[in-house]
Amino acid sequence: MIRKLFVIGFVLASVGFAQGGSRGSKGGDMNAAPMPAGPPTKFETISNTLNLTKDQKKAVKTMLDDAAKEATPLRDQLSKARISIADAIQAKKGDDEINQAVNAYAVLATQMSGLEINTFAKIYTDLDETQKANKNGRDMVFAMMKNLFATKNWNED
Amino acid sequence: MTGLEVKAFQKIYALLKPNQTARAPEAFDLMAGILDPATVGRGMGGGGRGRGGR
Repeated sequence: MIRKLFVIGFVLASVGFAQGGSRGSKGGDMNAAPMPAGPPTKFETISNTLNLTKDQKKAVKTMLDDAAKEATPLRDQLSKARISIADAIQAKKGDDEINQAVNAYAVLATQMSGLEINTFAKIYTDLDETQKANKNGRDMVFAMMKNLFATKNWNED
Repeated sequence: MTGLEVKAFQKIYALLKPNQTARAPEAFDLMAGILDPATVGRGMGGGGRGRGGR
């Protein structure tokens, strides 16, 4: 019985490998349209949502990369500031000291928000009138800006 | 929002046994944005900031 299960498992695994080999085509038909490689990156989502031209894509990518570089030290400081809050709680410090740590964190968080909003403003300035009139797209990208630079690589989840 | 996270963390911390508190500050770092639905589930970030919320 165990041997049978082992054989079935092996066969199923082989089928899986075979399908994996034909990734990019539908049902093994090489002429079919390729399947998308995976979920779109954040940049692809932004580009598609705002319907950016080739030149705009290049400019927006540079804006986001530059902002991400600027955000790097801020992100580290934010992390340290959060640890300081937890350290104060752990050390059973009074409310005043904990609030002081929270306020120090808030200053940094405000700077990060400023960076996100300014980056969006730069992107928005670069849009043409039709793109600016796309309220849903504009709102969606603005929402995406929140915490966009909170990870090491802004373009990945 | 950070104030709410602090209050939640204080309550959680109060429940911990002494041998569970060593890495509590790192856990608080991971709690960043946990109460903000827009940021939850964005994945683990670099630089020690877990969910990347503020």
